[in-house]
Amino acid sequence: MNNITKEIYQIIGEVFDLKNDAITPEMSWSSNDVDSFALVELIVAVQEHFHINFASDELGKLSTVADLVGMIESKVSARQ
Amino acid sequence: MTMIALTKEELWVLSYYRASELAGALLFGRLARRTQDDEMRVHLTGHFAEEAGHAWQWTKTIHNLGHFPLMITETYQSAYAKEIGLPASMPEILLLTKIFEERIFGHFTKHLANPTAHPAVKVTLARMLKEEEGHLGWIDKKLIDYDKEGMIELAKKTDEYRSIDERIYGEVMQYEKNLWDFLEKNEQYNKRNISDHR
Repeated sequence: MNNITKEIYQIIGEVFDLKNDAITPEMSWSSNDVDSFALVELIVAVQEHFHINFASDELGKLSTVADLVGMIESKVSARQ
Repeated sequence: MTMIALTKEELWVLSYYRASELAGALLFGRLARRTQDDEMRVHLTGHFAEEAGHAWQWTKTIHNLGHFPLMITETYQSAYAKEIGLPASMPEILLLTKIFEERIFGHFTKHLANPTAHPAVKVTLARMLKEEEGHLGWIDKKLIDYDKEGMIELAKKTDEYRSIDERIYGEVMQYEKNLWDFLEKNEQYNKRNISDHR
C-alpha cells in the first residue's frame, strides 16, 4: 500500500468511524445506507488534504474506495 | 390565556423547517471539524451553531405549543442532492448554502406575512429573519475569492443552481398544498393497519 492510499484510508476511517483494516478497495458508498453528509465530508477532506479539485461530473465515477484512490493518484501525479 | 393549537399541516411545516435547519447543522458541523483552513474553521463552526440554534428554536416553538416535532428525513437539502447530486467541492457547498439561505429568507418573509400564521410561529419567524440579516457576508466574500482562483464559475453555477432551486421550491410548495390530503389518507391507512394487526 503506497502513502497516498494509506492517507486516503486514514481519512475514510476517520470520516466513517472505521478501522483501517475494515476498509477494502471494493468498499462501495453507492448503497442507500451511506450517510450523504459523511460522503460530502470525505470529498472535501481529500481535496483539502491532497490540494486537488474534483469536478461535479467526476463524482459520478466514484463508487468504490478503489475509484477514489485511482482518481486522487492520477490528480496528484498530474500536478507533479 | 387560551393557547391556539397548531393544525396538523402547520406541525408538518414547522417540523420540516426544523429538519432542514438540522440537516444544515449536521453538514456544517462535519465540515467544521474537518477543514484544514483556519479561517474557514471559524466560519463553518459559526454557521453550524446558527443552524443548530434555529433547529432548536423550531423545536421549542413546536413543543411550547403542546406538540412534538415530527420525524422528517426528506429535507430541502435532500431535494437538492436528488437534483444535483452531491456537491463536488467547498465552493459548490457554499454557493448552494447561499441560494438555500436566500430561499429560506424569502419563504419565511412570506410565511410571516400570511394572516393565518400562528402567533407563536410569527414570533419565531420574526426573530429568525432578524438573525438572518447579513449573516452570510463571509460566504459572498469566499465565493468571490474562489471565482478569482478559478475554483468555480460563479455566475454560471449561480444561474444553474437558482433554476434548480426554483423548480424544487415549486415542487415543495405543491407538496405542502397536498399535504392535508396526504396526512388524512396516511392516518386512515395507519388506523386500518393497526386494527388489522390486533
